[in-house]
Amino acid sequence: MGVVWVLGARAMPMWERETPGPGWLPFAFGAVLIALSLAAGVQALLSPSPAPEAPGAFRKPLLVLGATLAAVLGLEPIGFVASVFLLLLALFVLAERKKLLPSLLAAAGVSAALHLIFVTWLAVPLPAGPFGS
Amino acid sequence: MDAFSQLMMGFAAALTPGHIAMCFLGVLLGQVVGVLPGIGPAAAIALLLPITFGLDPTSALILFAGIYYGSQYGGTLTSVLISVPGESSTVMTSIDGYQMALQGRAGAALGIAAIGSFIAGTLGTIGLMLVAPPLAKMALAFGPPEYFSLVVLGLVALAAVGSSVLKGLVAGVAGLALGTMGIDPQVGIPRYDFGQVWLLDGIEFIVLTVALFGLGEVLSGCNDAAARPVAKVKDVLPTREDWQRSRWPIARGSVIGFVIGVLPAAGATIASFVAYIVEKKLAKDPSRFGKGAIEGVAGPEASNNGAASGALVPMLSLGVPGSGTTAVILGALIMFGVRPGPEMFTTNASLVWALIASMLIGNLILLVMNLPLAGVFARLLSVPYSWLYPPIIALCIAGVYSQSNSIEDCWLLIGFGAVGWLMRRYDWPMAPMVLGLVLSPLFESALRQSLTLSLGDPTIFVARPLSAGLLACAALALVVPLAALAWQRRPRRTA
Repeated sequence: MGVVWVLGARAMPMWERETPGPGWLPFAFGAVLIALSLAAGVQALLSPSPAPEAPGAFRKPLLVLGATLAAVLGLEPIGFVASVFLLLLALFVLAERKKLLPSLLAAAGVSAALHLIFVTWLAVPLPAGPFGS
Repeated sequence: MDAFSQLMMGFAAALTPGHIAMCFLGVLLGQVVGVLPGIGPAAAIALLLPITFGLDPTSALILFAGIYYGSQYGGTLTSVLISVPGESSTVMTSIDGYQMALQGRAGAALGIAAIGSFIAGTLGTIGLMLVAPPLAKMALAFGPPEYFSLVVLGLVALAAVGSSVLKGLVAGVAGLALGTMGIDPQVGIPRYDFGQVWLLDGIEFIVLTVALFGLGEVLSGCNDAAARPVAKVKDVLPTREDWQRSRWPIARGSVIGFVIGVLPAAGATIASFVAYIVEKKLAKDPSRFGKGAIEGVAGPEASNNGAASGALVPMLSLGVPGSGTTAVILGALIMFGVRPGPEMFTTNASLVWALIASMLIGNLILLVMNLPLAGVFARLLSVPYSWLYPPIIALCIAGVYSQSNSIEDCWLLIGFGAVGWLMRRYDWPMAPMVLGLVLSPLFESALRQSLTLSLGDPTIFVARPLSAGLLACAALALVVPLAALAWQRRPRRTA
């Protein structure tokens, strides 16, 4: 339950920076937030500690988060379709250890469908990248 | 009868082909979303928002409401068939429903749930029709202090629903604080922009919702992505004996659900708990409960659907949502330029009545769809999550980017996705945070206007009777769930 503290602490300095007038309410929010976080932290410390986590419970979510981050990084240089295609392929093959062919098909299908929905139908200018039309 | 003629106008609006299609699409999507793991109704609505920008608000609202109550039923399927409640409001259903499935009576459990949901949904919608307009009329007298107290009530109420009131409050205040980012609405001073131009507009509500309910949910769910065995569904129509046993539980569940749903502090989860306990208390042979008693499915199922309609009463008439999903619908309405609240029944009367009519239609569609098709939906359950979550992530990225064509919003998606994952993992409620963000501007302007009115005297909030009453309700909302929890624990100890 250390995260209670991490979350609380991360929120704290952000909200304490006060500007007069418009800053009053954010300051009040910040103060209340700190007080409540402290209370939640105390509550977490007082309650019996949960069963220890299985090791590696964080690995896969972090992997998925990292892959998503990489895909967002890739949006502008290589375009939405290519970036999402690679993201899906990586998740299917590397994270889920699926067979290559169905993964390729699924990744291609989903990225094509999203392109159709958003770019063709809704006319949203998703980043096209060097391969874009 | 005024409400009746307005309802007829609502039917006239809801029965246009486009709106029926939206209603059908909504309940279908809601049901699929309710069945599939990892994407709840709140995330589904948030992801659909960019796609619905072209629609008129009425169509969009009909669609969202369809997703909302359709997902309630989808959650039932998962609780009965694999004992994994998709929503907390179907936890009670899984107790006896799953036992019935193990005894080969999954069909009967789903059938009675569909019928009970239909009856409760219909009764609940009629209740909504009768209760909401007078409430809205009363609320027209609201000034800034009342709105301030109303927002306090809404946030406290939603915070009180979760596992821990304290955690709910932290999330709510964090949402309010996030809502102060960007240009200050009254003086025009930038706040918390950290020197970044793109933060001057503040954090978009869609971005936060998709990040928390979409990406966060995926991250917390991707660890157990294995497929699960699914029970076979047959004989959906209940027998005469089933019906006789379930009749009164459905009736009681509908009423309990609606009444509890209207109270902003409660919602569908508590409603289903109460209905289950009531049925168990009233049963001639309480020992059958937990071993596949059909009353234990009928009561809570009717109750959570009644509550889903009931929760729309405070949302439509006061602008105070009673659950996470209604909070997202509220945010969506604000984006469409409709301000939920007392004025809605006068300024947007046609929209509200079309919605109510469409809910009656949607409940019928759900019933017709589920009696023959429950088995088909059940098959969706066997799609492994590992095939589902990567496309969900891709949809989150596309949805967030398309919202304002900004790559920066995608960074926020990642950041808040991680926050959502941790919140989910450590059992922090996310809905109050979204609601806080949505209501923050109203909260701040109401507070400032009130204090301007009173020349800085904070007693204005308790000196006005309506405002004081609302604040008293907020205090009650904090106390009642605690009392309910104590009451809930009592019979279990003796059992």
